[in-house]
Amino acid sequence: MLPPTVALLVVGTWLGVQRRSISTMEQDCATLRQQITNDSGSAPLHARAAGSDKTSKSAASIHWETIARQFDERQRAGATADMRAMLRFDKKLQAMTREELIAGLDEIAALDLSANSRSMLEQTLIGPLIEKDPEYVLRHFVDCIQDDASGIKWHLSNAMRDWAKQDPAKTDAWFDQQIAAGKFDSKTLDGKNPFRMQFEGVMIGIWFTSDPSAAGHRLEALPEDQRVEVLSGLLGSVKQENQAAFTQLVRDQVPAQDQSQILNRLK
Amino acid sequence: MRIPLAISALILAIGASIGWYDSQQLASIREIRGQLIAEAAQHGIVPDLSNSPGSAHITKHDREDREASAKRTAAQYLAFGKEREAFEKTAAGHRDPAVQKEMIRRMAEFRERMMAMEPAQMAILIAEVRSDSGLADDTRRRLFDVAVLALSNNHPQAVLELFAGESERAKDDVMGGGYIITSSLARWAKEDPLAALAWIHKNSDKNPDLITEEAKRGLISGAAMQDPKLAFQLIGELGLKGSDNVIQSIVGVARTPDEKLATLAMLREHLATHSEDPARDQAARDGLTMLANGIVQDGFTSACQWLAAADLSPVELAGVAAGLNYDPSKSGETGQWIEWLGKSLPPGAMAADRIQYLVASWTHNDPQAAGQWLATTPDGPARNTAIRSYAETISRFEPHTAAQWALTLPAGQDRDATLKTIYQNWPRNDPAGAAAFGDEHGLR
Repeated sequence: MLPPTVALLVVGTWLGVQRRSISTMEQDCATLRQQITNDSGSAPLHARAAGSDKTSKSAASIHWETIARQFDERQRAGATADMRAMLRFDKKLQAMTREELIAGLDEIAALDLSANSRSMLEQTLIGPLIEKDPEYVLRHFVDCIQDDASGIKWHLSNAMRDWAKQDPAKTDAWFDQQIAAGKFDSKTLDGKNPFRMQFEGVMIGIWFTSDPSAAGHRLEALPEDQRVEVLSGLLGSVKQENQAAFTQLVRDQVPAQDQSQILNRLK
Repeated sequence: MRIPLAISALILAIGASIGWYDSQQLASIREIRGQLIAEAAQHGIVPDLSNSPGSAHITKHDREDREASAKRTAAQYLAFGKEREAFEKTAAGHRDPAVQKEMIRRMAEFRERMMAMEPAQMAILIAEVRSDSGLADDTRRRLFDVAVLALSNNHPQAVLELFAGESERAKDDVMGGGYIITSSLARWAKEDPLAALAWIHKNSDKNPDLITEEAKRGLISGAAMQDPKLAFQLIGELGLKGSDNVIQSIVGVARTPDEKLATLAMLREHLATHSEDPARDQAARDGLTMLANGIVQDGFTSACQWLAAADLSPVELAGVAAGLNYDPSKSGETGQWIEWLGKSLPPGAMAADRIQYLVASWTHNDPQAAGQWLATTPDGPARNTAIRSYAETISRFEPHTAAQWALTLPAGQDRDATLKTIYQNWPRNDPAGAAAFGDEHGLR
């Protein structure tokens, strides 16, 4: 009866190892499913249940108050903040549609948040929205330029750049309308509005290669000291092949005694 | 003999058929498990199978799978590094923004994948990155930095061991080594401050180049997230008494007014252990300066409530004053803070300095509002300091208005000094005006 006993032992051991592996794998799968379910169910990026919060109306279903708390915690955590959470949130933002981003900004505007939290949230959404619709961002948020507490205003020159690349004439006309309407007036002692300077830099940077006279017109409307500042701000983005056009613009628009302080820095 | 053999054959046949069925099932479950691990990684979850009763029985097959997966990721990561290197050779002005955006997206994807990997897998990936000779040194170091930072997100101890084990080589490979050590210690201390402290004690002598004052501050800042009282105790333990920014790294963690009051109490308790007066006063000022930053953000009214509850000493008040910065978004409260400085600080250089700074910043940003406030502010030393600052600030643009304000000051040294500054700042395009002003006040 030895052979059947040996056969039984061999088969039993083999099947036992296999069953044990199956059991281990099943337990791993159960653990993983649980971890994924926990993450999806309690993920702060998602509203847990539709209708559980009136503010979670956007298609992306983001609970902005929770995000604001996370941002605050992230500021507190500094170097110890969870990078995974940041990456996941960035990814989610990148996947949001134009409409979802706009709805998100509307929701944030309606929430009772601290100025700091509101500003951080707005700044987070505005970048992806600029990529999708810079014209909308400029038209909708131009008043932020006069709002000292707004975080959006720091991003508007990017919207201006993106829109101007698409349609410089329309952007230029819109900009002039806003200047005329006083949206870029300054209350500072030196009379400068840093946002106007940024926007002028964007428009002039686009015009001076394609339509130097349009760039010249923009500069002529600025006081001389601001022309130097705007043109100096463009130095880093002047390509080799455009240096001649840029030099000509400086010679045409900047007082002779100030030209060298710009042109000497042209690489 | 035939019967036992027949029985044996039957047993083997039945066993083989059950075994075949089980192996099919095992293959299927293994595939599902792989998919779940990938799904978990997409959620940013590091698969934590340590609680699973079967986790101790990692099969050779599993281990090989994981090693192979780490090597695959390393190969893809290095290939990406080469692509990026080629892209960065393009002149800055000629880079395609769409390609650049895609590079950023892919790097974020790698970060996420690496954060989901186990330390053993990351060790393989890091070794592959280090040994690659096809990349420029800078690119390789950047890839190494990103990988090590990804590892530190969930396994800071692993990063510290990596550096402690071969600090010279690691130092050569890494660009942001100081930051990586500091943040890893902070992360670890946030979870287990005593374990992080023990690691420092164990490695300080062997790796003095890694365990710097900055790294120790990292540990303290992480510990403060969990236990500020312990963090204060660690200052002495780590020999950081008097070290720059160490107090701020603890105090800055407090968020709510109550937390700030509790932190202040701990700070006072900690400072009672200081024997040297100058160092103690400096630490008190540093701590209160940091607290003031947050307090001002809460608005003037609630800040005043906190300040009353805090019952600050003169040294502590000086710290708050030093932390008062001009904030355009709270411009409407600047006048109230200037008045608070006048009432709360003893007359002297500190009060004058802070009032001058706030008035000058406010005047530059919104001269109209600053002027209106000045016109309605009651007489007193604070107002006179404010007038000086206001007049001197506007003198480059509106010298006549500046002169009118200066002449409202009581006759004496301050008024004379202000008039002199106005004369020196008089706009260059009005030499006649400057000459007349100089003559009028005997300044020429």
